[in-house]
Amino acid sequence: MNINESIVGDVRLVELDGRLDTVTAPDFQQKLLATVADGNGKYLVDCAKLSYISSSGLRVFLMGLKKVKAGGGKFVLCALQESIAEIFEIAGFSKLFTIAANQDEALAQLK
Amino acid sequence: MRFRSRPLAFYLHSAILTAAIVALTIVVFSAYLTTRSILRSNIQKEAELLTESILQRVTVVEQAVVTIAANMATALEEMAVTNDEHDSYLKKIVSENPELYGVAIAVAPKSYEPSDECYARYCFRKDESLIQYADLTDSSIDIRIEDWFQIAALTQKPIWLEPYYGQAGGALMTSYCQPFRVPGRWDLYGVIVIDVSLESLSRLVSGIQILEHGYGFLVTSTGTIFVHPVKDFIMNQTLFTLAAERNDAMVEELGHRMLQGERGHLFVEKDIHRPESQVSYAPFQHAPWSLGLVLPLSELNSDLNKLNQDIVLLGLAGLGILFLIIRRLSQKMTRPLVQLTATAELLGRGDLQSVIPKLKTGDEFETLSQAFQNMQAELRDYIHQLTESTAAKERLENELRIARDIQMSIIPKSFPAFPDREDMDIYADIRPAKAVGGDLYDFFFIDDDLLAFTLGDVSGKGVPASLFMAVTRTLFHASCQSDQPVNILIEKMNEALCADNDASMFVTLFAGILNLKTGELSYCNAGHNPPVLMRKGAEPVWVDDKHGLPLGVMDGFGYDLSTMILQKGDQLFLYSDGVTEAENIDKDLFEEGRLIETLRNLKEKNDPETQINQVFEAVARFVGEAEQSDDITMLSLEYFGQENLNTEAVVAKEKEFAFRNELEELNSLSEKLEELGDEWELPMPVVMNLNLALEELITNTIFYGIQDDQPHTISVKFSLTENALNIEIRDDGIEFNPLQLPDPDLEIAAEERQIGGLGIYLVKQVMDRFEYSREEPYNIVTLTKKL
Repeated sequence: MNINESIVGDVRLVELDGRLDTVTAPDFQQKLLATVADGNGKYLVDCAKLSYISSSGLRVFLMGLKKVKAGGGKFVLCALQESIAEIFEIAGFSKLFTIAANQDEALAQLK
Repeated sequence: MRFRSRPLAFYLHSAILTAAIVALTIVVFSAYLTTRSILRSNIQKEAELLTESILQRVTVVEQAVVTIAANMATALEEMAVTNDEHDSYLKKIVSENPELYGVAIAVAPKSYEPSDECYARYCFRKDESLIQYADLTDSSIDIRIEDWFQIAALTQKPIWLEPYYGQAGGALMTSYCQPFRVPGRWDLYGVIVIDVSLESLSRLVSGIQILEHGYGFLVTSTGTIFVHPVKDFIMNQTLFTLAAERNDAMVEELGHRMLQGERGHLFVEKDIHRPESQVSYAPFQHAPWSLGLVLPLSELNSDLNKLNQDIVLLGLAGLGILFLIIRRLSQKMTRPLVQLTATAELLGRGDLQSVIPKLKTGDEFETLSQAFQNMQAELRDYIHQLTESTAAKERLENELRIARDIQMSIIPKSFPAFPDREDMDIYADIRPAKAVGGDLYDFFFIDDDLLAFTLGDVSGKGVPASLFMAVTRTLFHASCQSDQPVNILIEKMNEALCADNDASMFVTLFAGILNLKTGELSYCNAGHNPPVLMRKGAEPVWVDDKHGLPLGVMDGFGYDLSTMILQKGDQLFLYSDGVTEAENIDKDLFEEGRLIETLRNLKEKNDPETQINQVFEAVARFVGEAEQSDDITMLSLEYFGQENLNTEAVVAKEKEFAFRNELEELNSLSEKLEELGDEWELPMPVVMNLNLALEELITNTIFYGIQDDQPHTISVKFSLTENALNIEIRDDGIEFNPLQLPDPDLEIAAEERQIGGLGIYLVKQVMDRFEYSREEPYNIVTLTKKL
């Protein structure tokens, strides 16, 4: 699981690569919570290369979202693979999160 | 004349004709009696006149005979005629008196002079004109011993002899014997005998014909018949011999009366000897004889009958005329009635425009015709109003029908309801008693695994019940979206129904939610009939838990719920009280006993549809001719369980892995799954779902199930069948049923979402079957994924 962080304009971008399961979730949790610590900025998680997710991963996304919502910032996901989007749907997360089709669209939404 | 008016004419005819016939009969009868009495009186008078006339004629002759004899006696006694002159005297007398046949002077010997010889001179008519003299002394007969001489001599009085047949020509004769004395003395000198022919008298009497068979007859002083139409009787019979011969008291009576010289009538009733008749009788003035006239009264009857016949014929002709008149009259009288009847029939057939004959007869018929016209007008108005109100009623009924259609359209009516589902079957039917009923049922999937179903019965019927039913059903449908326990749904529905329940309606309701993955059924019975649970292979039993009042009764009422686990082949049967309270014509109820019996008797084929149809048939048989009194609603649910996914089918491939209770093992898990996916050619999404489910379950076991520090093994066994992949996960942790964990609320906002609790929920969602069992010391979770 690789987590690549960068800044695009005023957006903090996190790119995920690999599987997000019980084993890898703590690492992602730590990094994401650090990234969204302010909670008042604009945050984008690009899931284009995320190949697997379990409830542990979902839990981390929810924690991040809660943090950003509490801080008044914007939290957007983009480019979910079909299988990942399905899990999001089952868990009711697609209603909670703003999900864009790709990074450009997500950045446009965050402006 | 039309048939329908016949009775009136018939009564008119029969009454008048009967009266006329009675009157005619009285007239004919009294005419008969009167005529008969007149006729009888006439014939009696006629007979009397006839008698008088005959007697008169006879009397003339008698008188002549008596007078002649008296004169002769005088002449002889006074010696005016000497013995020498006797012949000439006799000749003179006979020739001068044509009514006399002969005259004789017989002188008895020694009556005048003892020396005198017996002497008798007789002069008589022979062949009309010749007068013969005969000297009776020439004969050997001594006249002194002859009866006639003796009687005349002894009585010294003239006598009439009994009739006899004379020697000359055998004619019927009689003789008058007048004794005479010796001149100047009182001694008998001789007897003058005057012979009279009775032929003319006989002819006279024989010639009498009264009517057809009436006749006259003569009898002598001894009753000897000497004139009679029956020749054999003459001089042979007396009235008495005749009476004796015939044993006829009437004839004897007649004989006595006639012999005593009486005059009168004898009425003779009809008997074996003769028809009804009357005998008039009268004595001769001089001769001791009597005349009888027989009047055949019965012959009067023939005239009388003829007369009567004429009267009757006339009467019948009169009746005929009377009949024609009555007929004419009744036709005239009933013609308006016939017309009005025809009009009334047209009216009856609904022809309100028919023209009613306007009668100007000035009598009751005009009034009747007027009444008909009024009736027609009022009927027209009434029908008009009726048509309008009927149209309004039809509109209402149409609306009710539409209401029913809407009502029916909101409950699921197409079966099989879920043809894709292999884990359950459901069937329901509703048969309303009236057009719009108050029963309801409903079922639908809340999500892929949760089947909500309900069956209820709204109090009352008709549109209000139907509306209440629609509201109830809508509330149930809406409430079930929120994923709450069924008793909470019921409580919410109860509050909603109580809130605006002005009509004080209520609904008894059974509602359940079946988790098709686990077979867990949670249910709540709000005052409804207990359903029937049919466990596979077991007798049907009542599910008689009760959880509260019907909905709409008490605001804020708290409802409980019950749960049970359905196994493969278990069935649940719901119904409304229309089943158990179906009434037959004897007012007996179908009752729960018959329902259970019907369900018990379902043997081989007892799928929900068959079950419901069989119960309907049983109810219909029981009810018979009686009208359906209430809505009948049934819902039947059969749970096939997950095993229907062919988990027991021939296992094609099997593989088993063991994992330690360490998180790092999850990496190994994903690798092994990828290998397995390649090997068994499983689709990628399936592999991912397997990975997710196993990760969640194993994580759960590692975090919560294993609570000591010892190493444990979690074994995972895969088996592949034709259309499914089965996974059995076995661990020796503490007993823990993951299915008991509540599902997360997916509807609430992110801020309120719990961080945990998602894992087991995800497993439930991505797998097609998820079962748990405990076989000490193992927790065994069985998963199935359809391929």
